[in-house]
Amino acid sequence: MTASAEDIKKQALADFSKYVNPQKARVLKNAGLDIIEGKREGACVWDITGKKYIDCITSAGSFNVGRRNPEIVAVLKKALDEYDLGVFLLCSKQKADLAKKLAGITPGDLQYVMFGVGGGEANDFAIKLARGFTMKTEIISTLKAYHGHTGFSLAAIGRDAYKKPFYPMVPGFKLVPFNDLKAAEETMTGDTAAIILEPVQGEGGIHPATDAYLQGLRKLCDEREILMIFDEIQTGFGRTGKMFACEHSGVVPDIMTVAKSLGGNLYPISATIYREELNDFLVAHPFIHLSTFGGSDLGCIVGMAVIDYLVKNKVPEHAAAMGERFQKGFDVLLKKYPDLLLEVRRKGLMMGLQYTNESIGPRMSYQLAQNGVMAIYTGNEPSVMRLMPVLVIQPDEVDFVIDALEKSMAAIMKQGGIEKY
Amino acid sequence: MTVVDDILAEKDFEKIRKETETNYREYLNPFALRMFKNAGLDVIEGRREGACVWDISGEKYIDCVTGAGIFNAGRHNREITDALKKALDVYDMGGWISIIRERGLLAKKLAQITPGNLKYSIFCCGGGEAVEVAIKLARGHTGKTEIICMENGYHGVTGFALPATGREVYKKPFAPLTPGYIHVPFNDLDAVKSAITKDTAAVLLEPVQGEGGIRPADDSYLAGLRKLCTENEILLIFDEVQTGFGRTGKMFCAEHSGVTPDIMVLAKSMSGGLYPISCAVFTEEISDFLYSHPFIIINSFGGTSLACLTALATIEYIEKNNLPERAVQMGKRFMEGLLALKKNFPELVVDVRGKGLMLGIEFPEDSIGPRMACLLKKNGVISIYTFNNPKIIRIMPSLVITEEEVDFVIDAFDKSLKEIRAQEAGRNMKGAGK
Repeated sequence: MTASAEDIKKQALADFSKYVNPQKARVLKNAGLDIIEGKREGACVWDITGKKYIDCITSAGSFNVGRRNPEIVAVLKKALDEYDLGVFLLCSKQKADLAKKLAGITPGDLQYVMFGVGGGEANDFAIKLARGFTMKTEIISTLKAYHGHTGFSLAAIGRDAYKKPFYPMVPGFKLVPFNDLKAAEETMTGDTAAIILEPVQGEGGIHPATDAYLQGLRKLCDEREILMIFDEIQTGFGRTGKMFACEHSGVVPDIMTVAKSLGGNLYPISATIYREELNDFLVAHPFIHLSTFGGSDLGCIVGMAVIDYLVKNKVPEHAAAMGERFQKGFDVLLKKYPDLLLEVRRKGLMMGLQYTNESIGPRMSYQLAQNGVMAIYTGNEPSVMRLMPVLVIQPDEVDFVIDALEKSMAAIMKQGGIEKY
Repeated sequence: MTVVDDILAEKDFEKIRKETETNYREYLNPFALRMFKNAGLDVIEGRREGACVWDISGEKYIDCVTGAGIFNAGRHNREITDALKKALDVYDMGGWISIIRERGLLAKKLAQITPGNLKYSIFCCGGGEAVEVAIKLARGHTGKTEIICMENGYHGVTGFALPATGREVYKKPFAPLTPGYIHVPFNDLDAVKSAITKDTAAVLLEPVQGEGGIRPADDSYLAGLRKLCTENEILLIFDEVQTGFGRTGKMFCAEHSGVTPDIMVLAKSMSGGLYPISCAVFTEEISDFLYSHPFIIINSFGGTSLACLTALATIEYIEKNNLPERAVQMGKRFMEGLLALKKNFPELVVDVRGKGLMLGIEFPEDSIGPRMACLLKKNGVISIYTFNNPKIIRIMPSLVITEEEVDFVIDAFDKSLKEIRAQEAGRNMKGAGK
């Protein structure tokens, strides 16, 4: 049995190299992440050869309700007895129900919904809506930000490496430093349509926005009739200890984008939620933005089941508590390994370990995999390791991750080769 | 009680309709609802099977919209549904960064069934997203920037795809768009020739324009493009989002002409109308770019374990039941019926055209498209005009449609055209009376 699993793994790695991407396979192998996922449950995933890992990657926060959550699986299976995707051009009860539910759980007067499939698509629509509604063109985004790979979102990303080979980008985007109110203010002009940002920068290295920054931006946007877009794709649905990260500051954006965990790790769906006033643009152009697969009958049912699950089980509160438990462990590690670990930034279960230099990220990934934890450095900042486990992680699993971090750091210290910070 | 139980428990269809309409008004788009009604699309889908869909009230329709070609294997195909359900016993999406066995298997299968030397795949969720990948690959691989695309083409609404879409209304409110796109008339080789510069990265087109009004490209045009692109080191991209997976009578439309593009974009019917997945399939040469940039195009939801298994089951179903051949047979039967309509209603039917089961019927003026759609709905058929050209009704039923169902659709067209003829006569008499 084990031998055949090994064979399957070998073949899978070969197919992946031959038909998907050979270099990707190599990079993952070097990071100890050449894992072929078999069984998945709760906070854990098993390689097909049987090795168990606690998943702290979770596709950057796509699995808040847990890996293969049995309740959501049961809902989707039942839905499959009745539905297919549905026709995107027709009136769908499921789409209407989920839109209402989203309007209900999002803060303030966010009310109307446009569905998509992925997060990038939701951000593309948010930016289009801002331009279409305001009839202004400039979009301000933040350095190190990540919003997706589709054209409008890509232009808003704060990292050149993702963009350069594909130039020219959509014009009209300006980047400003994150958490710097003055920089944003100085960049605003009479032609600024919107500012887009993540309440906690994910790929940028887990940087939470300060409440004062968000409140200051809200005030500036109100004064200058600029729309505020929050990309809550990684932070939404309980990740930071509240249903949405913006609730920490009490700031309500004009447009909010969500994706990832809305699909319960089972079915792709994203949404752009916006204030009633903005819908004037869609009333005038009802079919100007279409998505064949966005807000499908099946996707909407999964979305509703996910929201019900999060509310019923008080998952955001659980995330806050588990985040505190992690913090106690981090505090010990910070004292014990100052040559490796510089800082920990965290909001709920959105956690970033700032290492002292870039080389430590990949080395820690490798060590953690040996110790039963899947974790990876952030896309825009390799010196930061992101830990984003499922929100339903249990206390003993938190302790297991802390223990694995400790073992991995000890191993790296023993190996040496750490540049003195 | 799960959310599905709650939904299914409600049997009062009037209540469901009212509630759905209220929710559309309050939370989605109030005007879209009115448009649905005016276009004969105010159906709330309940049961779905084969070529048919039932409104929640029990009214049965033959679905000729199929989300512009997502249901080639039939509505709610039970075999593919069972495959997805089985997959749900073991899998979830899988981590996007993990090596997904199912993704490798699907990529291999696609390499086998797509024509020529197309080999590597990048997976995404929607068609537009896959077009974006194709354009980015073209720019990244060639180091050039210009994309030649077609007037009346449709490729999606996200940032790199939107400028390629050949219709101003989709684009204007969102300008300035990504620069570097040049539009030329479709089926005009000389126009492409004169648009080519040293900075041209790719030519992008649909082998049959869908939203543009069901316009097939000539074989000689495609062959000419292939030659032109090869000579000038320009990539040829086929958007087979609507034409792929048997729709035109071959597994891929490119096969009719024997022209292999450098990049092919697939979506819609790829996963049986059950799960979002799309992809760009490309040659080994182009994959060099990704070798030096392995993580430059990433996607949380693209090519999940569940999506890839569903796609594998779908391709198996299409092959096993020889759906491309079925599209040829049923397409032929349709075309005979449509030609008869053209003969019987010369003042109303200007043209009928298409490939396989990708068919279009053209009327003399824009207003007849929406009127016909309303009448067809009354006669048991859901249909829609093409987005870039409202005087053309698109007929894209499931490929599993039966002969009786083809005849039923033709009959519905016949009845609807008779009503239009009567309406027009009434209007003329009124006009004459004045």
